[in-house]
Amino acid sequence: MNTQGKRFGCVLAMTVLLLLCGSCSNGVGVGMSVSVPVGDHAHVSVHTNQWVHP
Amino acid sequence: MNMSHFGSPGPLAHRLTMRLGPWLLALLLASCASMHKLDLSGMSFSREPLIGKVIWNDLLTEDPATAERFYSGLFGWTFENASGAGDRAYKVARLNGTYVAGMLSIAPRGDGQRQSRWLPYLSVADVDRSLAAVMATHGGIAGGPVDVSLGRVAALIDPEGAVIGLARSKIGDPDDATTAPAVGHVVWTELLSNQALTAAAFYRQVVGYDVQVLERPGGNYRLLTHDGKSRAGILTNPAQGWSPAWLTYFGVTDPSTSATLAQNLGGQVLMRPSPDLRDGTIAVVADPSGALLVLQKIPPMP
Repeated sequence: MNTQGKRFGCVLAMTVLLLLCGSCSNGVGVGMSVSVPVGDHAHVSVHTNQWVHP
Repeated sequence: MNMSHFGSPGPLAHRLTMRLGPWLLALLLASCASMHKLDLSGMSFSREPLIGKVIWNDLLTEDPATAERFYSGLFGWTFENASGAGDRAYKVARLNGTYVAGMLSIAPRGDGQRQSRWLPYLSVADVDRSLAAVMATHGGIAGGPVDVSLGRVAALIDPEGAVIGLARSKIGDPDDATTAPAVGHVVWTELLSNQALTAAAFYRQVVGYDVQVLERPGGNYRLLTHDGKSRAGILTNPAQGWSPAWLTYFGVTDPSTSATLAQNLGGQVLMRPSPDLRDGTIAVVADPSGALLVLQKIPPMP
């Protein structure tokens, strides 16, 4: 194999590995940030008898 | 321009390529192995998306170190570093061989308002198509869409302001055996809504749910189902001062004991178990950073 062929082979191998690396992440976890206020839940009385069963 | 200059490297470039190439390959393999080493052997996945099912839950917290101690103490979770959607620190929690949740460090808001929350992700067939339905039905987008480890995800804001995630997993959704109700696991997800009828129509449109109305002594309860499986619920908000919100329920053996433990770990008990409150089977607490969670006795009904 000439020099150009070796270079091409090396670049190709790197590309394949990068693609494999990107696709081998295994399907759990998100980690996306959301910045929306949640309001105050700590100082409100709750009518427990309205908390009906599913 | 002499194009041959680009096609034939000189002796120095050739030597560098030959010497550095193997090292670069090794470095790439090592970094790949270190980033993706989660062990999913204890979980099984469906081939097709389980539409409407909560397939993942992230805790977004401004104080991850304290949250880690809290959930480790409360549920026995262990945490592992993982790759998140951005550059913020992200971990996943594991219990008995199953990954149960994620924990993302978030920056405090500039206006000082609280934002720590549990964020569930609902399985949908097509995230982008669901987002189009959100925009067409007076909702908004809180995050994404973005491609992450799990697949394609986004977060929506429903017409009442409640926030929830949407996801299309790329390897299939955790099946119902993997997510069977268990202590320390998420066992139910429920929307507290001031306009339950409108909310049900919204989620039917966006996710594809069927809605089953159950008449109960305290009012109507709406089950959100798909393919005959109950995936979530809508409860008319029993606390008028609370903002509409999605609540995440975690299985416990004894909600009273767990509520006390939560308090001892720095959390706040908002509602202790009471005979008036689903027959004493639940407690509502906030973790140290203010995120709400419900402690649900397993099995749920006496």
